[in-house]
Amino acid sequence: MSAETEHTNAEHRQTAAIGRRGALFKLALVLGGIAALAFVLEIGARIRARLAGAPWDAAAARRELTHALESFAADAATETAPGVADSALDSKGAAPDTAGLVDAHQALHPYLGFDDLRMHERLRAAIEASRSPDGFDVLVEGGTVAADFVGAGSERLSELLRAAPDFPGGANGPVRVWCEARAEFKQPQQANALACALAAGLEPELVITIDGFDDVAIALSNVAAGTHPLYPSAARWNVLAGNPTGDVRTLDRLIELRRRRARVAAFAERALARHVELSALAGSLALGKLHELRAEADAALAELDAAFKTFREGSAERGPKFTGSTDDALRCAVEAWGEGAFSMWSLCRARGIAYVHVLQPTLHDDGAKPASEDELALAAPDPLRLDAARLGYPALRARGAELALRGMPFCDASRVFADVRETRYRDASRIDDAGHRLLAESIARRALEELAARAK
Amino acid sequence: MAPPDQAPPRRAPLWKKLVLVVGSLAIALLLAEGGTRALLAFRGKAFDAEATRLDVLNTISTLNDNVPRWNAPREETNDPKQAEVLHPYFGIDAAGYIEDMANVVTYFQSEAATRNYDIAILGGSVAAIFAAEGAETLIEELRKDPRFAKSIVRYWSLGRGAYKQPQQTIVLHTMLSLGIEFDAVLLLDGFNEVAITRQNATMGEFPLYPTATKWLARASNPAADRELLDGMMTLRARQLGVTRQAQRILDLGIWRSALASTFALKSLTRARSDAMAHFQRVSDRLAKGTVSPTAAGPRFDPDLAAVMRSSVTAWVMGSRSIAALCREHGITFLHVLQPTLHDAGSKPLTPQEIEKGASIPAWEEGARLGYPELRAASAQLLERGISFYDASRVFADVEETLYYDSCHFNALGNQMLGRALGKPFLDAVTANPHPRSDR
Repeated sequence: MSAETEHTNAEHRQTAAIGRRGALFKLALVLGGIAALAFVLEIGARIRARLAGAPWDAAAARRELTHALESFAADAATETAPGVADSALDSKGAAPDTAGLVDAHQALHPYLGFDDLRMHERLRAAIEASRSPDGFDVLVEGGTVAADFVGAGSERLSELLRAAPDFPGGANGPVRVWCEARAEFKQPQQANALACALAAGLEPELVITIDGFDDVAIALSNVAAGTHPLYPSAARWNVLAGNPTGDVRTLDRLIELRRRRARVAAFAERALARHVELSALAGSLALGKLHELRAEADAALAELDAAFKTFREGSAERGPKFTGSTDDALRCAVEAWGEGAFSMWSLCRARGIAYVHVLQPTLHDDGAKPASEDELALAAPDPLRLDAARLGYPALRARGAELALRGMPFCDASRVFADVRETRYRDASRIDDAGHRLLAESIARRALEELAARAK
Repeated sequence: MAPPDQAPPRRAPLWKKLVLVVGSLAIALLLAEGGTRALLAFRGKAFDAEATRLDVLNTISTLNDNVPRWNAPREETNDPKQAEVLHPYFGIDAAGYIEDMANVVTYFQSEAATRNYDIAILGGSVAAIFAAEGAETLIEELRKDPRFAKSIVRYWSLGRGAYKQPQQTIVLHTMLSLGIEFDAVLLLDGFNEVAITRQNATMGEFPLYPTATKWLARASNPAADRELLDGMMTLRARQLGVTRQAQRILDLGIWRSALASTFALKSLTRARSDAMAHFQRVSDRLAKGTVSPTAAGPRFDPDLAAVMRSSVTAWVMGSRSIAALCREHGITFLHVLQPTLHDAGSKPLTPQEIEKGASIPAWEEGARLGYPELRAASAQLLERGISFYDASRVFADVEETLYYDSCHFNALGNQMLGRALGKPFLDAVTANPHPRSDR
């Protein structure tokens, strides 16, 4: 090889090396540019977030991604069963996600429609205690307000009963107040619950039923939901009695829901693995995408809920066909309420148990209470619930008075707050603790009258 | 080296090659199609495109109905009215009864109801069959009494298969809540109370709950059983896959070709078999019974003696509750202990009755051990002034075959029972201090 050729080759090598260095430089320049741009964008994103009043919080972002992963990767039973109670999972300690239609303790009951599973153990304890020779056992039946009363008003009730000179339980004997009331129970559920409790061996000395509002309000909402007014709350019964997996259309929506939830979980998992929360830019983009995916999953859940609520339209599970007007539904509800009260009294009388039936107060019953500013500020209730209070309550009072004439111990507590100006209501029908203590006074008076009459 | 004057071989143009390939392919396909058709014809299964299309359609239509239904689908019964559905207060009821309830309410709001004498017959299947086959005989007996000589007496069959206390009490209370007031209530029960409670206990269900065989199947929540739910969803995904495949066969006209449809149908059949295998897995899981603790009811003492005590208590308490409801409403009430085959001494059994009376052990033992306890407990009812009639020995001297299974008897037996109930019923009417008809 000649020197000239060698020189030429050296030149080529030098040129190639320069070319490689140039390419590397260009690449470094591009990468540096990208990095600089990313840095600028990152800084920009952080400034923007700060200016928007929500400085970037990497820990919060990571928490949101982790929460999404945990929630959406939850097992199929909770993820895909909107409104279906899942006590099996709950008993293992997992937090069930039941989409808010019914809570995890709710289950079908053959004689009550639905029941809170925790009531089973409470009833066992009540039966055992009621059979002991000492003590005075009071059983409270009804809906939400009655259940609240046991928590907030029973102590005052016990005090007042014990303070009465002729109280059969004695001044110092234990007064045990047992709750057989369940949220959203309405007649004939209270009467059936009493019949079941008595059949199971409960031996109370006094039974108090506190009800009225749910009896008329749920009857109207049931009719609106295509369910017979006498049936349990459609919002719970139709969910529990309908079978979400028995219908292919529902099952298809279930599959779609599961697919979309899996996408959310997979995305959150990837984002967490890449630590996107360390960057305001990448993190906010990831959270945006996460929200989008979650919205898609929520939409699928809403579709499933809607399908689930409607697929049994017209089925026998909704009860006999009811084609009447609002007035007819109210008449049916008031008839069932009166019959339930009368039957409960009959069941108690045949067993020598004292009985008092209490018509609970409710905010929108005209004249029930001068509403305070806080009560006026409560969100306006559903028009059906307003109708229930305004149209149903006069009918309930009249029916209660009729039953009282037939000898049933009736306590019309619908005016117990008629002169109370302070805030007592927490919503259209639920009252605060002070309200329950006031209610306890009315109930105690009526119960003591009944106990005294029986003693004679 | 090629001679210089020889022209290079001419290559066929590309389009010609393509035509040749496509033509050969088409011919090959035609030959294959023809061959397939000939083969099928030779085998005696000549290709029928329309039949193939229908086959594919049938695959779609049958497949989508094959998700096993937890709630017995109404389509599976011959009479939709007989299909059993969940009832919020009775546990389970027939769809027809629920639908007819609106008519019953209308009748009881009518003037006719105030004129007529309406008897409700409560209980289980024996009560329902008695209403159909023995109630008229009872009414004939009642007509012999001057109080009923000119009355229109109607009976309402409220007995339901496997009902037992507290179901009868709740049925009556629900009727009253609907504004339905009968003139009299005839409660005919006993067997289910001691037989079904025992069976429930052996199946892990609270004895006082409705019969486990019906209740658990409907009230257990498949969505709470992850394995089952996963199985159902996998099955459904497979079914959708088969459906899409079948739809492609239809959309692309594959069904018109013997050759293509042979392959497509084979693939479709494989996919369908796979789906059906999943179907079977889900069915097996359902059949195993995922006894949901929520559906099985409260904890209970599984000792069979304790179960028997609780069932007898529930029978007494149920009777007392019905008596109390009736008393306050001025309704005449008669409680009757039904006869049953496995109650020793209830009847001289014929060979046919022995043969057909064999039943599940829980039922036989329930009747054998429970009936003496029910008879003993009935003293509590009489002490409280409740009209009670022990019909458990009503066939004690009957030599003919009456029973056709372990607890149900034929029309002759029901007529005998109807005649036997005449006097106790009239006595109960006499004992009612404030009958509705007087109010």
